[in-house]
Amino acid sequence: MPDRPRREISRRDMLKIGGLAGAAIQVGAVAGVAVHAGQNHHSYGGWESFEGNTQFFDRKSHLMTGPAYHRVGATRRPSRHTEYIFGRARRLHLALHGEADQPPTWKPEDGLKKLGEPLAGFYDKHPDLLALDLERETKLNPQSKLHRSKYAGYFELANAWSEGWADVFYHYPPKPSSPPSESDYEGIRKEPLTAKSPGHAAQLIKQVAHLYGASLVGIAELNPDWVYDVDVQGAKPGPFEVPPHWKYAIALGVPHEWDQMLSNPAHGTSYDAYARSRIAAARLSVFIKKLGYPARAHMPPSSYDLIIPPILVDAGIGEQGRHGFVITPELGANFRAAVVTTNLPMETDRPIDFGVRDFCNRCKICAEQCPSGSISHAETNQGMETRGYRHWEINQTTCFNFWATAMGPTGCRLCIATCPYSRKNNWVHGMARSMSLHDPTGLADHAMTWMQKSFFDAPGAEAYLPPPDGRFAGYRPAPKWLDIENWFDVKVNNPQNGDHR
Amino acid sequence: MSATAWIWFVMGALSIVILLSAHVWMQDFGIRMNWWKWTLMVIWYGFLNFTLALPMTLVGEGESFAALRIFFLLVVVAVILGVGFWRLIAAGRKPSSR
Amino acid sequence: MGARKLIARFTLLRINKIGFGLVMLVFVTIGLTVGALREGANHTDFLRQAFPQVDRFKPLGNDVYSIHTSTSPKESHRYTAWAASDGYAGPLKVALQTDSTGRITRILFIEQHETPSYFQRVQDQGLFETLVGSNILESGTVSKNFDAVSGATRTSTAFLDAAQKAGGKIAATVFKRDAPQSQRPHLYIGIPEIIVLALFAAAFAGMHTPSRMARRIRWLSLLLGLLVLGFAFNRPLNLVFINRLLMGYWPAWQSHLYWYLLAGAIILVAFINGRNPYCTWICPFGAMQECLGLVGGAKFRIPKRAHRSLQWLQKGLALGAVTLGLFFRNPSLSSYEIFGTLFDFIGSAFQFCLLALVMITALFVPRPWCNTLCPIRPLINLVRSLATRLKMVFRRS
Repeated sequence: MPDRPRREISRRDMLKIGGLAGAAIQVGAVAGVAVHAGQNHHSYGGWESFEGNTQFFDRKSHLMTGPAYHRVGATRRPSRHTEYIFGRARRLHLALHGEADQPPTWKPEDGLKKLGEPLAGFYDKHPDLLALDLERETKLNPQSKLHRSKYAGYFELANAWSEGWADVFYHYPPKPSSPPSESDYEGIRKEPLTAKSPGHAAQLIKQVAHLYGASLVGIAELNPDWVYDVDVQGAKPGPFEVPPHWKYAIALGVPHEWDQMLSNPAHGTSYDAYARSRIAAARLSVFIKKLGYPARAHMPPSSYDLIIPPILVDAGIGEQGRHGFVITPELGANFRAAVVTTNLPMETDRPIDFGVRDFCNRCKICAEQCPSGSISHAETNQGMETRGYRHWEINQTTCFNFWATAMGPTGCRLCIATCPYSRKNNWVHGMARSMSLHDPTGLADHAMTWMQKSFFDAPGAEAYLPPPDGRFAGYRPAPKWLDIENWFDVKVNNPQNGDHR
Repeated sequence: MSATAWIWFVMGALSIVILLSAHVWMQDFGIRMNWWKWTLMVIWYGFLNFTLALPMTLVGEGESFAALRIFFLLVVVAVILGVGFWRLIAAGRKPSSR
Repeated sequence: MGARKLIARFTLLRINKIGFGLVMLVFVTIGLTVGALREGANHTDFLRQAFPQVDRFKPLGNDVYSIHTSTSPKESHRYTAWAASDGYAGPLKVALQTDSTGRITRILFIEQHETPSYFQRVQDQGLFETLVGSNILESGTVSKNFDAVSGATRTSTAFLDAAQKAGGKIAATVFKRDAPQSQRPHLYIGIPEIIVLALFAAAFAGMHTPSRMARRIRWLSLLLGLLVLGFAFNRPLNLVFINRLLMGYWPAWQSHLYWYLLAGAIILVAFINGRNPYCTWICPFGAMQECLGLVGGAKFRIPKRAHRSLQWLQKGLALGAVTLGLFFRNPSLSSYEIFGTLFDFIGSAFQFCLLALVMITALFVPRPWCNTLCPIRPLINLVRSLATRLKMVFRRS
């Protein structure tokens, strides 16, 4: 019987080898599953469902204990003509270049007085902003025109995709044709339906808002300090009182498509999320009217009677970040918001605290990458005061001036892309988020900020600038589907490859 | 059952084979195993899987350079951990005559 | 073995020792002279390279120039000035450009010797752009937006200092304003300075105590060095400071007290008992390798013959690195050590690969880096043999 022991040994060896092979297969399979987890389109958060699964963060357990922002002085409503950068830029542009076929009404040599109020008074107080605004009008815009003639071809596909989203801005919903006291009541149900309780009303509104396309929904009582001072839409130009029926603000948020978002400021656009949140808000305002309550939608790109970010904070959608955008637990800073004002009685949400304040004090990645240096590097937002409130301030004017030099679709959005919170929803980033949330010492935040800075490439602030200083870089390369050379036989100057013909 | 569910099912089955095999390996090495030694082994094997899973997920996301850097870092840690754990586990072993 | 052979080997050893010292001295002298001859280029040349669109720089004195382009040859709306400060690895010169309101529009380096990967990190983190947009006439605004890059504090602060000086020159010359005074280097004694003195004291005491006690002191000292001089502050002795001293970029003692203490203590101990306290007792990178050796056992010994040739390789590397640095007048150029790679996680891809290799080898071989590649040990040994020789000379006379 010499065979037996040998067979036993071979069985044993089989098991030994089998175990090794099994481990190899298992490790290999884990690697394969991991690649899939990285590519998986289910991880493109905020776009996966219309059922509200997109708002998965447990906000009730992370309510803000202190105030969401500090009142540090006398408060007032924001000025639509001067502080609102687009309002101011448009006014100055019209003065310098004339409306339609009209001749210009002002040139810098005329002196400030001739510019007329409200710009004259504002620029008198802020000569630095006048210098920046003039730099944009006289130097950056013409320079950008030159660049466009050279490089626009490379961004044509990105622009086409962006324009496809933008088209809705001109058609839906129509501009209000009368003041809030009339237009907010247009098409309203005669007898308002009374909800069983404010809680019921809030739940219904949220359900419907999700179905209309909003990834995130929150409700707050409207603080009148967030409403612009003059020119309410649909009414004659001039100051206006905050309408009494603007009692509640329903805040909605929709993310940008993730891959193009990461390619900012080159191939990304604002308009995809703008259009989606705009339509959701417009639909929701009609829905509320049909319940018998007045409603007005305040929507991107410019149909606003109020400023949005503080409302997002009030409604517990997220916390304000260093870059001025609101950061949410689900989507980071990658989302665009709209607001519906109404007097339908609803249970309101509370501001949340998931550690953004401390994180932003420490991280500073957005400030380091910002091509125009518009984001503060300060240790905290102590000492930053806007209209009586303390919060993170950015230099809107230098930011907007960079828009004038960037190529691709209008704007920059680099800070959204670089923000460590703006990451997809796979297990890696999920783990990072949950570590950040549950670590009271701040060590996890520190480690992860360090990891992004040490392991993840970033082109660096200068690379986003126009040639010769930069190369119109994006934080990440364009996704394949936005790369024009991938689909069409065209000859383009690719500035990102240093193609400066 | 979806494809991923099958993968996890097979992975679970494989884990049993690996554990049984580890038991035999250790016997042949002449190492007497106990609970903390098993724990160390499982921790290390888990870390090995993590060492691959984290960079590969980043590769899937298109962050290959970050993946490569993190992979190198994790591999060095895994080797150091592996050698350290092995010395703890193999301390005082008596190679069997088998 | 015959006595003659023994004597022959002994003299060969002596010749080797003296020879290395002599070769070192010759190379250092050649490097220094050639390097010094290469220095001293014209600053407007640098400015011209930095601002290629510019037609003409009109000197206004005090290193300030007004900038004239072909579109506006007569009048100037922009000004530039340069100033220097003391960086990590030598002088750091910065050129600053402002517009007619004093707002900074561009910042450029016209000379720097910083360790490339550290400089890269500072550049990547957008430090230089943080000052763009601030106004040199408003006091405090230049430094307000400023935040030193962690791991490269010396480079960051030197940059800020140089930029402020350059801004001050423009403010004074063009705008006739008093610029905010830049600070004189002030003496700062912190944890690293205290720890390094304590560790040297411990090492010196340890050298003269019985071996069992000495072993404990050594481990304590190594661990403290690893934590404080390694991970907390990243201050192991490296080629940069040695090169600086050799090429005459002697930094202000107030701001570089730590390095002077370190170098001074090594020389002092070499004179007192001719030994090397740093590598065995203090070096944080050595401590790291010994810790790994503890984990892995580190039972493998390098064979004697191989060890001897490896030592020659080590000496050659040290000599080559110092000469190269001197030749190019750049203290950090040839600093190939991997200390910062471990402690600050900053380095080239090559350095990271080397670090991984060294760390894994250290599990099995005692102190592989120290015994084969490190340039510091041969240099300290040179100091030691010089010290004993000098002592002998003194004693004879």
